[in-house]
Parts: sequence; C-alpha cells; structure tokens
Amino acid sequence: MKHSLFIGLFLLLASYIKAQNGPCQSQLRIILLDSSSQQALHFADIEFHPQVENKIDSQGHTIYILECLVNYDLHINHLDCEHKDLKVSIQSDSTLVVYLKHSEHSLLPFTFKQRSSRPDANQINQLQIQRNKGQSVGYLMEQLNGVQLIKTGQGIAKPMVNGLFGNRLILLNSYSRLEGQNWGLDHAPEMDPNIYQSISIIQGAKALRFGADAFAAVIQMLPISVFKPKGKAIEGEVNVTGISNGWGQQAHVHLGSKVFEKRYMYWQISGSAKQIGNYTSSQDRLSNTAQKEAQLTAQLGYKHKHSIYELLASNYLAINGLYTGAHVGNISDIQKAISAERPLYKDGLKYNIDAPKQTVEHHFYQLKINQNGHKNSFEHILSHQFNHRQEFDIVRSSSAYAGPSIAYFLKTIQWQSIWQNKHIPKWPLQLGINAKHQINSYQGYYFIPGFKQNQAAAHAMFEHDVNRWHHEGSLRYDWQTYTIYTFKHQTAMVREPISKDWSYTYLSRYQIGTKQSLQLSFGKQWRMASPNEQYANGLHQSLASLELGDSNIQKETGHFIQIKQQFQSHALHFEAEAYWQKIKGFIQLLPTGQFSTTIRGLYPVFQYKQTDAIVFGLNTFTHWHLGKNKTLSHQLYAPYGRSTQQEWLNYFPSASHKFNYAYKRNKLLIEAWGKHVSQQKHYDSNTEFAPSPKAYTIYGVNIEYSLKKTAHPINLGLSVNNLFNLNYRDYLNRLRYFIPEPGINIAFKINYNI
Amino acid sequence: MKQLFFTTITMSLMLLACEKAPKPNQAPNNETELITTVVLHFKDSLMSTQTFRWSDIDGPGGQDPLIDTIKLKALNTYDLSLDFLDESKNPTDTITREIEAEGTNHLIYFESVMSQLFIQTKDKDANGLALGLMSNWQILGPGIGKVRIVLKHQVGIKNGDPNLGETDTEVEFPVRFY
Repeated sequence: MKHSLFIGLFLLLASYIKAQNGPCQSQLRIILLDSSSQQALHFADIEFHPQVENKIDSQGHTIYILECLVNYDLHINHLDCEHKDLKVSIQSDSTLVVYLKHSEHSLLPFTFKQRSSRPDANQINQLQIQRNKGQSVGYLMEQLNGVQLIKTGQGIAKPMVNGLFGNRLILLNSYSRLEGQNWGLDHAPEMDPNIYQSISIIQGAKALRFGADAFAAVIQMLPISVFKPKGKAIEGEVNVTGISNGWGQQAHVHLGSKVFEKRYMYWQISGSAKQIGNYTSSQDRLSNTAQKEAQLTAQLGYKHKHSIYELLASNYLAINGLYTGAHVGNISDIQKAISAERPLYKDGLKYNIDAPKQTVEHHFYQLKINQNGHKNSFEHILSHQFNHRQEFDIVRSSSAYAGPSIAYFLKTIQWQSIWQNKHIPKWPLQLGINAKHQINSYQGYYFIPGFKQNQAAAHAMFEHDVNRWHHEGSLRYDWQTYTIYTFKHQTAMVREPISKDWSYTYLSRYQIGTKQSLQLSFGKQWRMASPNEQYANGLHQSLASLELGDSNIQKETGHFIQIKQQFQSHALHFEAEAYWQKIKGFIQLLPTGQFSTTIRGLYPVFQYKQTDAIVFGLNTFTHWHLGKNKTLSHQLYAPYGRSTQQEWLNYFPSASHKFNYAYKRNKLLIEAWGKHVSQQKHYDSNTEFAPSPKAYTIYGVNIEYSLKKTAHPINLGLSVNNLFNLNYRDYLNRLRYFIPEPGINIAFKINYNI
Repeated sequence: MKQLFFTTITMSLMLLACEKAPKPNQAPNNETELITTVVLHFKDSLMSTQTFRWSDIDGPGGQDPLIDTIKLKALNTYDLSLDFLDESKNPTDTITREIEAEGTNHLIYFESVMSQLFIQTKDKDANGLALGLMSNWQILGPGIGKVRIVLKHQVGIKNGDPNLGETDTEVEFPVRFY
C-alpha cells in the first residue's frame, strides 16, 4: 500500500561553493518533519544510490556528502511509514526538509506539539541524558516539568510530579508499566538511565491508555531504538564517568548494527556498571552510604513489509547502603539524632555496603509487534517483569543470621492490544484492550501481605483537528480483582476485593495566531487502595514508626482540570500550567497519636486513612535566546496539597525555582545553574519529628567540549553540583533527621562514539 | 515462521526469569535475630531468687507485650543478672551469651526517677568499660514507680556514653517496693 507523502524542497544558505581540485562536493542535511505537528521525526532509514559518505556535525546531525549536480536516488524508510523514493541533485550545501504524514499512522502516544526543536519542558532528550551520566534515573527525571524527588539518603530517589508519587505515578519502561513495590517511599525506580534515548511526560488523552490511576503523570522512558544503526558496521558508544563525591566510577557500552545488509533485522546490546563509595556532606563522610548499580539490556528488531517486531530484554541490579544511623531504635533515638549538629556515624571511603541496605534485581522482557496499514494499524505488546527486592536490617551480632529481613518477589505479566483506525475521515480512533496478572510474595517478617492481582481494561481514544482547534478525548473502563493473604495476630485471612470503574480525559487546544496556544484539559481518574494500604502491619525502621493498614479503605477517585498557555516566538518560549485536582478518598499515612510498646521502646503508630484532598498548583517554563550563542531558562514549580479539613498534606514539595544560563560556541558549551527551594511551611507538624529545614539555594556548572567531531566523535564533559559546598537539608529526604545533603560533587565524563 | 522464532525466544527468556519465589499465601517467618524477652533474676542476701519478665513474643505490633511488676522488699540489696532471649525461635535462642562475648559493643543502663532505688553496674567489658548484665540494686525504702532498662548496641563507638548507638531494647517495668 502506498501512502501519499507531501514533499517540500528548500534550499537554504549556500554559504560558500567549494573550490577544489577534483570533483565538486556539497553537503546535504535532511530534516524529516511530521506534516501536521511540525515535529522532527527521528531514526529513519536514509539510503542513497549510488552510496554516499556521511559525517556528524557539531549538533549531532548527519550530513551527507554528495557530488555536485549528480542525480541520486534517495530512499526514506521511517518506522511507521513505508519507504518512499525521491530523486535529489544539489550543487551547493543544502538542507532538504521532507514532511511526512506521520501522525495519522502513529501509535506513539507522545505527540507534544511544538513548532520547533526548542527545549521541551516535558521531554528529556539523549543529549541531556548524556549530560547527566553517573546519576540514577530519578535525578534525570527532575528536569521534567513539575518533577521533584523524594529521597531516602542519596542513592534512593523517587520521582514525584506536582506532589504526587508512588502508586499515583505511572512509569513506563518502553511501553509497559514498571512494576516493583512502588508503594514504598524508599523504593527507587528500577531503571538505569543509560539505555534510554528520551524520558517524557505523556499528556492528554493519550495517557489514559496506560492506566486509570495516573493522578500524578505518566512518564515514559524510551530505550534507544534498535533500528538506529545504518548498516552492518557496528555503531554505538562508550561512556566513562568519574564522580568525585564518593569517588565513584561508571562505565557504559552500547553497541548495535544491522544483522544482514539487505534485510531490516537489527540487534543492540547495552551494558553499564557503576559504583560510588561513602559520600560526603559538606563536612563529613557518611557511614554506609555507598551504592552500586548495573544493567544489561539486549534488543532485537525486525521490519518486514508492514510489520515491525521488537524484542527487549533488560536486567537491572542495584545495591544501596542506608546510612548506618537510619535504623534507629525508637523515637528518643531520632530526637537525639535531630539535636546533633553533625551526623553521628562517620566513616572513611569504602565501597562495601553493610546492613542496613537494600538490594533489588529487576528483569524485564517485552515483545512489541506493530502492523501498519493504510486505514488500520495494530500494536501488540506483551511483557514480563520479575522484581526481587531484599531489605537487610542491622545485624545485632556477627553470629546472627545475616540474610534479608524481608525479601519481596513480584511477578507481573502485562498485555496490550491497540487498534488504530482511520475509517472516519479526520477522526482517527484508537481502541485498545489490556490485561495484567501479578503475584506478590515475600519471605521474612510480615510487613505487607502476599497477593495475586488480575486486571483487565478497555479504552477508546479519538483525536480531531479542525481549523485552529485540536481536540482529543479518551474513555476507559477497568476491572480489577485481588486475592490478598494477610496475617494478623498469627491468624491467616484471605480477602478478595473487586473494583471496577470508568475514567476519562478530554483535552482541547486552540492556536491563537502563530505564536500562542491555550489548552484546557479535564478528566476523572481512580485507584483501588493497594494491599499495603489496607493490610500493612509492621515497623518501618528508617522512620521509627509502626505502620498499620486499614481494611476499610476503598478507592480514591480524582477529578482534575488543567489550563496551559504556551507562547513561542523566535527568541522566547514560555509555558504556564495551572492545575487543580480533587481526590475523594485520598489515602495517606497519618499519626494516630498512639504509641506502640515494643521491646525497643515506644514507636508512634501511623495508620493509613482516607480523607478528601485537593491538589493544586502552578508550573512555568521559560526559555530565552539572548543572542546568537546565549540562552537563559527558568522553571517554577509550586504545588500545594490540602485535605478538605484544611490540613496540609504531608511530604509535599515546597515551591522551587531553577535558573540556567548557557553559552555555546563552536565546540564548547558552558552552563551555570542555580536552584532555590523555599522552606516548606505547609505540613501537619503532628506528623513530623522535626520542623522542616530552612530554604536553600545551590549552584552548579556544566561544561561540555567536543574534542573530535568527525569519524568517531569524542565528547568531554565536566559537571559540578553544589558548587559552593553548601551544608543543607531537604524536606523531601526522609533521612534529613540524620544527615544533610551531599556536598560538592564533580563528575568528569568521556563519551566516545564508535 | 518468523512469528514462531520470536515466540520461542520470548518464552525461553520468560522461563529464565522465573526464579524460586515463595507462594503468596506463605506464612511470615522471621529468621533475623530478635530480642523478644528480657528476664530479670534477682538474688537477695539469703540467696533466694525472684524472676520477672518483659516479653513480646510476636514482635512489634500484634499482641501487647506481657510485663511483670517488679516486687522487691524495701531496705534490701539484690544482685540482678539479666537474660535476653529470642522466644520467637524454636528452641529459644539465648542472646545473653552473645552480648557478653561482644561486650565491647554493648552497654546496658538503668533509668529511674525513684529516689528509693540505687543501682550500680558490676560487670565490665574487655576494655574495662561498664557492661550491665550484672548489677547491684539497693532498695532504700518502700514506694511505687517505674524503672527502665536500656540495651545499646555501640559497634566501634563505645566510650561509656549511654546516648551513643542503636537501642536494641528499652523496656520499662512497673516497680513496687514493700
């Protein structure tokens, strides 16, 4: 089947004509754009006959070297379209812009529409991933709009969007939900950022496909496409990073190529390993704060006629030391730690990690099949995940059992089938069904119950563009059932709750003139209480509290409304997003005012309770082009959460600002940034052991240099975090009672492209 | 044919991923060492002994702990020896010997506001610092009150300061001197 493609040919800026002895050669850059969204399309196969050489310029674009006035046959083959033939001939350096009617066939949920390749508040691209080598994935996500981190020490950083996190935030590894004891405040996402090409927030109606429970957001991490290589020659990169705080090292190797010259079969392997020793605050090296992280990922891809097959296998391992003082005895021990000016447990530089510690291994396998047609396209995704998480409490004596105190085993199988059709003109429709089967079990003492879960859902989504309006809407119905095995007072009980409900999202965007747009979206989401919220019963060591579930807790239902304004001119990009969400039955852990007498002393008892809550706030993103080489950007996040009884919700981020100034010239990029976090004054002081820390501002610098641009490019990077070695504590770090944030950290990176 | 190839790969990879997970309805079992019980053995000058217990066999949460009231004669002196047990295991694990063997990592101290009670630690660890498994109690008069017994785990940092380290036990007994 042939699709009609609209081709525009622009010849830009013939800056000079090469006068050479020998054949005249000119450079051609090819830009592929989606004809309706103007968005760049990446990872197309571009083939010239006769063959031409190519090189990479300073921005990472591929430049083809053509002989002047010679006719070339050009094949363009993009993921979701058939390949198309063009004839090209140039006589000076040129840029060819090709518009493809891509979005009508696109099953990619991400279509943030913008008119240029300006910085995007809702997406982190590969350049930014490169810039942050050595960080774990949560720190990368912090650059997305509205994202902050809730941390337990430094190695464990969990993303939160507009104040909501955990079971209210959907993280996608490729196209499948990441499933791994998400309820745990001290359980970081089990993903290694080295394998990704982009990390994005999925907005609007497209997000509902992945779940009815994304009160916070859907964040998708897309692995580097297996179809990226151009031929049988192995392509890839090697990255080596040194980290000063903790004297850490990371190495990452990524390789891939086509398997056969004439067939579209590809392979890819990516492996990385990192270790960081005990890190320092501005004054002290903290005991047992080392971390280790490793991953090995392989992909296989095959394109044939109208079908695309992709197989992804990813294995991740992380070991995190919890600061020695984190597992305190009781409330009076926490109070001693709080009143101490400096951390009580210090140590030298060590890489070995003792209890208390966490280890997690995560295995993820996904098969994705796309079948594209003129009027009908299908996408099928099947994935299997196995998450094995072990928590090691402090061992009392050297002869005692040194294995995990609790080990969790979580097995999840997910399946999705999507049908995209264009039978009604101008009303592309997406219909999908999905199912999930999950088993959670544990060994050790009881904290959360074992359970089995089955879930099925169906959804429908439409999109419609007319004049200056863009509309999209989706509707979803979920059916969920649990079999929960709880133990109370040594008695086993089985519970089998069932829940089902509708959810929907609607989004409208109006283009005002050529530079502005205004967007309104609203919808309904819901989430069944998770087994830990209903049946938890145990000591949470690092918070010195006894946590209890409440079996009467039912579901949370939320209604949201969001207004977004965007302005984009040549020099300025500005967007502001105001949101308001009412969540009926909001589940949170609240103090009961009672204390439990245990052999280690008194522990305050916290219990999961339902209340009605309102979450609201504002995010802004501004980016100025100050001159030819200079840019300035600013981000503001200001989330608020309140129960309808006029009490502030806990663990909510305070308002923060980020500034970034960048200067780029030829091979050098220099960036300076600052981040100011205000003091959190909105929280229930009954739920906190110590008042919130005062406001702070930290600064950093980032320098990048392209040592070599042609053939095998080499890039060097140097980034400094907490430039002035400030001693500060962050309200969202659950170990803030014991330890401050890290002091100055310098990372040095070498990137070599094969 | 190609579909079969991919299906086979997927299935074999999925099989490799299936490690030996326990069943979801498996009963909890705590292998880590717990201290569930503190036993107080008092011996008076006539060598007769009395025993009082503080025990929470099912661990934190669950049933409330069972706490005896310490009843001792006024105007008497007693020698106290402490036992720390893990009664959640079968057979009961005696932790006391480990505390003694790793005395340089442990400190037991007593807290009470009762003026009728005077407690002196008698035993020392290998470095000559007080340990606390053995102590001498002087009861100076009748009265009702409370006494708290705290076991601290102070690996590498023990210097006599009771505020250092993690609290392994902190048990409070009601007390009656008659």
